This record gives sequence, structure tokens and C-alpha cells, in this order.
Amino acid sequence: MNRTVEPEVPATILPAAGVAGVREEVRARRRALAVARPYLYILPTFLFLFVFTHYPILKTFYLSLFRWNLATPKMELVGAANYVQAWSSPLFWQVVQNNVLFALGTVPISLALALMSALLINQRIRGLAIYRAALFYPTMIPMAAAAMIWLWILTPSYGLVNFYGRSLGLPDIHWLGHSRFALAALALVGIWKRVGYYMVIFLAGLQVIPEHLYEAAILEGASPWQRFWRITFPLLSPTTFFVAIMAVIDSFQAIDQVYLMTQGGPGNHTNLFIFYIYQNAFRFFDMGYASAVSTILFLILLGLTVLAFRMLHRRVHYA
Amino acid sequence: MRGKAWFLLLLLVATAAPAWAATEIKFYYPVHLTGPLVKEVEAIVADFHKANPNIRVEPVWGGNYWQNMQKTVAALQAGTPPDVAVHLAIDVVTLRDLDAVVPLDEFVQREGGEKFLGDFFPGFVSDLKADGKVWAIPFQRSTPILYINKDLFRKAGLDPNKPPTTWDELLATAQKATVRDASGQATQWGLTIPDDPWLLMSFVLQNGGRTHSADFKKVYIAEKPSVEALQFWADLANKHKVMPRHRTFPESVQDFAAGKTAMLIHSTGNLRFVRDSAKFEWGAAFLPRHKKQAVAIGGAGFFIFKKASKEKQEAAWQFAKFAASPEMQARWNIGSGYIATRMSAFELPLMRDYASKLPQVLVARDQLPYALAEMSTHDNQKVREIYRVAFQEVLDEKYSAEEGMKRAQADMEKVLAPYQK
Repeated sequence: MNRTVEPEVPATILPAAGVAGVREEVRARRRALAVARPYLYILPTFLFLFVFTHYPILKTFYLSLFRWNLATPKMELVGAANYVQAWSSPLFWQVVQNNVLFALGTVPISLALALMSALLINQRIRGLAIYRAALFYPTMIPMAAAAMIWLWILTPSYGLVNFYGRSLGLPDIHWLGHSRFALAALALVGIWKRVGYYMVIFLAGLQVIPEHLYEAAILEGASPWQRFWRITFPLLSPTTFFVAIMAVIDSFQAIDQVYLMTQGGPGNHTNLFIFYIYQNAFRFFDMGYASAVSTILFLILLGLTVLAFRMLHRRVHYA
Repeated sequence: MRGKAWFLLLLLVATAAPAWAATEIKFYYPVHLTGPLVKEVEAIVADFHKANPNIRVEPVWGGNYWQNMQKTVAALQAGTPPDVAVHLAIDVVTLRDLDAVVPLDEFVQREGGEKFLGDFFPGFVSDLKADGKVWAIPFQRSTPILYINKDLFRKAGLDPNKPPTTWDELLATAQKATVRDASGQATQWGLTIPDDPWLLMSFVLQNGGRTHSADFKKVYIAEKPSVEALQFWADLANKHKVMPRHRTFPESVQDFAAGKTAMLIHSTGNLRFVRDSAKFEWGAAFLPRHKKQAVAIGGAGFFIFKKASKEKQEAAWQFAKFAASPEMQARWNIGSGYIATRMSAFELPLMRDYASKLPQVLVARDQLPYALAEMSTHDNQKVREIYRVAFQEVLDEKYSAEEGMKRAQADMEKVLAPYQK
């Protein structure tokens, strides 16, 4: 209340040097505070990140150098043995293959669907909010709940899909229990779940494309097809690339639907990276090996992220 | 404002006061099958509180058996294990390898030793023993039984009071009860069995086979009786097409309740669910025999943890003993379908009444003389997962029964190698 602004008095006209010394000290302290202030502001975030992200990453790498499982309850330093074990394990490679297939199955389709719905929704049509909400709502349902619903939809004989499929003369397929269809069924759920989210990002990308470009194109007599390929697609490419990388990362992080719908079965045909890690760490208590596989996954995702940022950077400047 | 805060504090103290006086124990338990079993467990805890006001049990539902085990192991690593928990009998080895639990012999001696144990069905006690010590008190014990949809039997022209008693009869009955549409696709299965190794083991045992060594260090799944049993199973699904290839535990029992399969081989622990949800006349019978009559025991026991204080271990024993008492076991059997672990439970009026109305409930008990331990080894979860995957791969015709079991045997031996000392 009685805080007053200190007038800037030149030090030379001050009577006593002692006063000047105190002022100098106050100023120095203020300067120090000014330097420290930003760090103080980010400290809570940094602490949070350190405790929940950086430290676990380092610790995981550290643990991956040890054998630590039921047969070896006392940790034993084994160097790269866990990595060698992964490299020489057919199951590890099956998991890699499953996950690559899963990515190939989910990423292009969800991208195409998301872009198509974003384009449709970007137009001025009646009931826009309803369409937008309808496309976005699977994103808001927790994956656990969604998986339980799909479990019922895909049930053999009397599940929704087979019930109607049958009346159309299609064979009764046990989607989640079939070695060839189970992964596809999980991919389907993944696509359904993520398309709305990617669509919103695409929508944001579409809305920053300047309107006058389209106006000019229309004046020039460009067809909608040409307008899409010559204007929308190139200008949207940073967004597309970003979404693509996000989708690949998402596909390597899928676990909920695996855990709830197939438990990796039948016969490991739907065993994906995170589920494999979970299985080794918490079902088999093989912490060293699970840490090694986690580190491998971390490196894969790190590589993808770096790639994404590099490309994104270049594209944004280009645009 | 301040007055309110004081009031709240007072309330907190008042409600917490009884807890101060009591010994508190943490209890992890699993629910593996379909039905309102959480309520049944909570009812046991509530009755225990009434009888023992000086002990408070905090029940923590841990998911299914595997998940509950994960919870316990995670808690162990964090240094705060439960005081008492229900885990599978086959996890005895793992819990001992983790040095997590205490033998219960002292407690058992105090209750009368062999006399106390003698009232439990012998098969339930023997697989909870290792190195001559008792490691758990039996709970949630079961065997698979054959459930029959009598209405569908009649429709197929089968005698509903003559369930199949041999493998050959099982196949013949399943063939007759399978209904196919014009394209040859089954619209109703003759038989359904979850593709879980536990159920396959019963067939291995019926074929005169064995699964594991008494020291938990060896497995025998590539031996001839085991391969033949798997072949018989695979033929039911792939050659004769009277059974679906893959069904989970919940899927298969829901199929049965929905009238989609004429027979079901599943745990007796589902009996209450079937009783409540089947809208048709149903029966229960022994599993069919082949070279011999046999069945693999499933289920769990109460383990008491090493890290708990003496006082808490004592309280945990009181609780386990209470839950395993004939009265509680009778009620548990009625509420779930799991076999009451005590012979005397079947003499209680409550149980007699129930059995006279629902004789199916006695099938699993009467089958017990033929019951043998299920596969149990070191690193049981890894070994079991190898078994499960190989089993499913054979059903998918990726490998022949012989090839699949040979590969699984080799993989299991790798897992068990560090224990061969």
C-alpha cells in the first residue's frame, strides 16, 4: 500500500557512501533474482519431468545392463546380454513384425480418413457441430471402455458384426481369436479411436491456409480436384507430416486394446511392443530384459521424433 | 469457518478411534471367473469383522489371478507387500523364490496339526505343500466339470441324462449336437472349451500323461500322452469341427449361457453364474475318461507374508482360518461354485439343502478322488505362457501337435535351465 517508486538518484550527489553501498547491494540482488526468475518458473515443470520422465529413462537404461529376474533375484551386471537376448529371440522379432504391420495397417488409413473428414467438415454445412462432435467423440471415450464395447461388437456368433454379417451370408468369424484377423481387428479399433483426434489437427492446419489462394484459383478456373492437389495438399504438408509421425508413435504405444481384447493372442499374433514389455516386466518379473526392450523402443521413438522435428522445421520455413 | 474445521477434525478422530485399537491387515484377492464374486469375498470380510472386532481386514481386489500376482510382486518390490493374499497354488514356487511368504506349520500345529488339515480335501492341501511344509490354506479351489445344455441334447435326439463318459463318446455326442447351416458352418457348437493350458492338462492326465516333476524343475509336455491329448483336442476343432478353436474363459461360459453350445468344459467356479443366467435345463458331469479318470485341480490358497509383523501375521492367520472354516466354505461354495475345501462343510444343513435342490453342485466334489495337481514349475508364468502360445499355434495349424510341443518343451527347458542345480 505504501510502496512508492524510488526516484533514480545519481549516486554522486548522495551524501554518504554507505547508503550508496546498500543500494548497490539491493540492485545486485534484484539482478540476481531477475536472472534466476525464469529458472524458478520452470523449476516445478522441470522437477516433474525429471522425476517422471528423465529419471525413469536413465534408470531403465541402467537396469537393462543387469540380469534381474526370478532365477536371479540378486541383480547381476551382464552388460549387453539382455540386448543380445532380444536380438536372438524369435518372439522379439515377431513383436517387431506385428508392430510394423500394425503401424502399416493403422497409419495410412487413419490419416486418409482424418484428412477426408477434416475437408468435409471444413466446409460451411448445416449441423457442422454435430458432425464434428460425432467424429471426435471416440477420442473422448477412455480406451478401456472402448475396448470393452468392441469386445462385444466382435464377439463370435452373436456379436454385432457377426450377427449382421451372417444375415448377409458372410462367414462367422471369431475376429479376436483368429490368427490372421485379430491384429486387423485391433487395428480397426485403433483407427476408429484416433481418426477424430487427427481430424482436429488437420482442421487446424486447413484453417490457416489463406482464403485468397482459393479465390484466385477459382478465378483461374481451377477444378476442386486441382485446388486440392495444388493448394491444400502442399500447404497442409507440415500438418500431414506431423500427424503421420504422431500416428506412427501412437501405433508403437498401443497397449490398452491388446491388454483388454486379446492379451497378445492367439499365439502372440497380436503381441505389440508395450504389451511385450509389460508381459516381461510384470508377469514374468524379468526386469532386466524388459528394461532392455524398453530402451530399444525408446530409441526407435526418439529416432522418429527427431526425424519429425527436422522435417517439420524445414517444411515450415519452406511454407 | 474455524468451528467447522474443529468439528471435522473431531469427526475424523472419532471415526478413526476404533481403528487405533484394532490390528489392521491388508488382504489382496483375485476374481478369475464370471459372477458377483467380489461381493461374496466382501461378505466373508464383513462377517469376520463381526466375529473379530479387534482385527480390521482391508480387502483389495487385484483383478484376475495373474493381475493379483503382479500387484503383490509390485508391492513386494516397493517394500510394502500385503499381509495376506490369495494366490494360485502353482505360485507357491514363485512366492518362495521371491522369499515373500512364511510357512504356516506353526499355526497349523496350534490348531491341531494333521487333525486340522485332515478335514480339508487332500488334493487341496498337497499342492500347497513344498519341502514338507505347508505354505497356504486352501481357498477358491476348483476342478473343471462338464456342463450340459439338456434342452439342446433333447433337440439333437440325445439322452440328456447320459452325458458322455469317454473321449469317444464325447466326440460322438459333440458331433450329434453340432448344428450347421446350409454352407456347412456351425451355428451351434457341440462342445466348447477355453483354449487354456489348465483344461488341456486334464486331457493329458486322462491319457496317462504327466506335466511336471515333483521338484518343479522339469516339464514333460513333449511326451507321447501329452502330444496325443493335444491331437485329440485339435481334431475336435479342426478335423471334426464340433468345437470352436479359440475361446477365452468368459467367452466360453457366456456362449454356454446363451445356448450357443451344447456342452462346455469349464471350472466349477462358474456354477453360480450358470445357475443364475441359463434359461434352459442344464446338468453337470465328470470330465470324460480315456486311459484313466482324471482332472487337473485349479485354484488357490491364503498366503501370509514374511514382511508382516508377528501381530499382523497372527491376525492374518485368524482371517484365513475364518475364511476356510466349514461355515464360510459352505456359503462360498453356494455363492460361487468353487468347491468348499472342508469335508465337514458338506454336512452342514445349509449345504445339504442347497445340494438337494441343485445336485450339480456336488459333481466337482465327487470328482476330487481323481484330481491331480496342475503343472507347477519355477518361473511358472513364463513356462505357462510358452505352453499357452504353443497350444494356440497348434490349434491354428501352424505346427503339428508333436512339433508344437517339442518346440515348447525346448523353450521351457531354456527357462528352467538356471534352476537345474
